[in-house]
Parts: sequence; C-alpha cells; structure tokens
Amino acid sequence: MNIFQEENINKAKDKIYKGKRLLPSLDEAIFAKIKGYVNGSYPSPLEGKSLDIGYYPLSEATPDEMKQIKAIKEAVIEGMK
Amino acid sequence: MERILLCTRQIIKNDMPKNSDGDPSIFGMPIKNWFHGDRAVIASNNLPAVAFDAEDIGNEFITFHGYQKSWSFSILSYVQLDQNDNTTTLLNYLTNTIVRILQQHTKMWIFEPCFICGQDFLNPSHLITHTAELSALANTVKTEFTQRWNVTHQTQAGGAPPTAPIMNDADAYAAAYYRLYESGTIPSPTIVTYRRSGVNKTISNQLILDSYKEMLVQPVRFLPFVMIDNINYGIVPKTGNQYLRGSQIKVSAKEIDPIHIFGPNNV
Repeated sequence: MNIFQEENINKAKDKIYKGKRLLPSLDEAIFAKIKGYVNGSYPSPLEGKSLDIGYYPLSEATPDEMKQIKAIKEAVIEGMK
Repeated sequence: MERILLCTRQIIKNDMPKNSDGDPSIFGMPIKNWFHGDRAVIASNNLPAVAFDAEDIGNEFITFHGYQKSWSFSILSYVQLDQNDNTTTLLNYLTNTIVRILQQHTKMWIFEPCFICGQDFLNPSHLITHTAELSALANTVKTEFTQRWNVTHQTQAGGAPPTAPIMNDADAYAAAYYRLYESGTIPSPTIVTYRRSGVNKTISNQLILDSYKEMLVQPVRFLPFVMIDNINYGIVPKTGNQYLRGSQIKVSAKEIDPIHIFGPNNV
C-alpha cells in the first residue's frame, strides 16, 4: 500500500464536499440550501454531474423539492418587498 | 496566506475611491464591511461588503533551491439581492474597481510585523526609516545587483552593453532586511513594542528576530506574479433565509520560496 494513500484519500474527500460559492440563479441557490450547503461546503459528497459543476442542477430536484424551491423563492421575494 | 489576504485587503481599501468622509466607496456609497474570511451570514446593514478568503495553496518542487507556491484566494463582493437594477449596477462597478486596482499590483511584498521596531507595516518604504540597521546592507545589495547585471549583460554585435537600472531604495532595503534576518543578529538591540492583530508586547527586538527564526517565519516575501484567474457573478446562499447577489474574483499569487538547506543528516 502506498504510504501517501491515506493523505490523498482525505484530500479527495475534502474536494467532493466543496461546491461553488456562487450559484447561477436564485432557484439553484435555494436548492443548494435544501441540500445542506453552508459557506461553500455540502454535508454529503457531491456526485456525478453535481461534482463536475460544483452544485446540484435543478434537473436533479424531485417534484417535492421543486415545490419547496418555489415556496421558498416566493417567501424570499416577498421578504424583499 | 494570512498576511497575503491582509495585505491585499489593505491595498484595495487604500486604492478605492473615497466618499466625502474619506471612506472607501462606490458612487459615494461606503463599503460597509471588509471581512477577513467569508461569513455564513451577513446582516443587511453590513452591505455592500467585501470578503477575502483562502482557496488553496499549490506547492511545486521545481528545484533543489526552491519551491514554487501558488496561493489561491477569492475576493467576494456582496450586495443585497434586490428586484431593481441598483444593486446589480453597484456590484458590477464594485467588482470592476477591485479588478482594476488589483491589476496594478502584479508584484506584491508581504511582510510580517517589523522585527526591528515591532510595528505592523505593508510598504517596504517603511524599512528606509531603519537606516542605522540596514543602510550598509542595502548598499551591498545594490552593488551586487550592478555586478551581476554587468556579468549577464555583455556587448552584443558591437553595441554598448546596457547600463544597469538603478535599484530603488525600497527594494534594496527589503532585500537588506532579509539579509539581516538571515544573519540573525541585530547590531544594537533595543526594547520595542511588538504589534500585530490582538498582540501588543514590549520586548527586545532581538527576541522578535529569534522567535521568527525559531518558528521559520519569513519576515519578508516577494510575490512577483499576482494574477486574476477569473471572475464569476451569481447568487450566494447564506444561513437562514438570506440570499445575496455576489461576485467572486479568483486570484492566484505565485512565489518562489527559497530553500537553501536540503538533506541535513536527520536530528
């Protein structure tokens, strides 16, 4: 076993939890929060497309999550009025 | 990274346009906060805000005498997420101003608090005030620079060899300051007040130098290539129900970290 392997595994782990700090739209920003995003990091590893782009695309949201996004968005916009 | 972030923050604060109260501002609107490190939540009375946060450090072993370090960090500008155009305009101009300022600082000196007088400082011209300790070393630096120039710039095709440019005093003093650090001895030690964030201590300046040497702290570093890699705009989710409009300027600063000792026989 490579003696540096453990260190590399930890680095790789760290990388897959980190996401983009800026999201393209409010919908994606809300979806990131639903997925547990806090200050650049996610509580669970990003996988597949989300690992490539650094955030969860809306195409991965379930119908329930889409409803949640819509409701939060309305509340956010209402709060700014 | 700590000192690089602090130095960059001070440069941008210093070079930003000022309002009538002398505060850094855009369109006369002061930047309410300059965060050292990003924040999970930013109260609306702290906006517009700018945050400086570390990304990562690339370390490459390029030769037996030096590592090339690439310090990556982000400058994040935040404004309120709003339904009118004002905040977007503010963010665009704020980002543009920071980018333009940073583009003028391709080279950057990074200093720890001065081991001669204990003061925190950013500009190498501060060192010119320490003539007694540094002037002889600075003159040697200038002479050696001219000598090396003359060796490496010979007559080409019959023309006159180019004359060595005159090294400015601040650069020569910064190099002299490093030589004094390497020598490890301040000629006439005095008692000074050592000041840095959260620390205020009255001690001998020789003790400051000794501590720097023991902890392998580099009192002066030179970043010859500070470059803006890219700029992103988007929406930033913060904790609670807060969403901000923001921009992220990614910066990388290259440094050659000299290593003159390699392969001592263990302990």
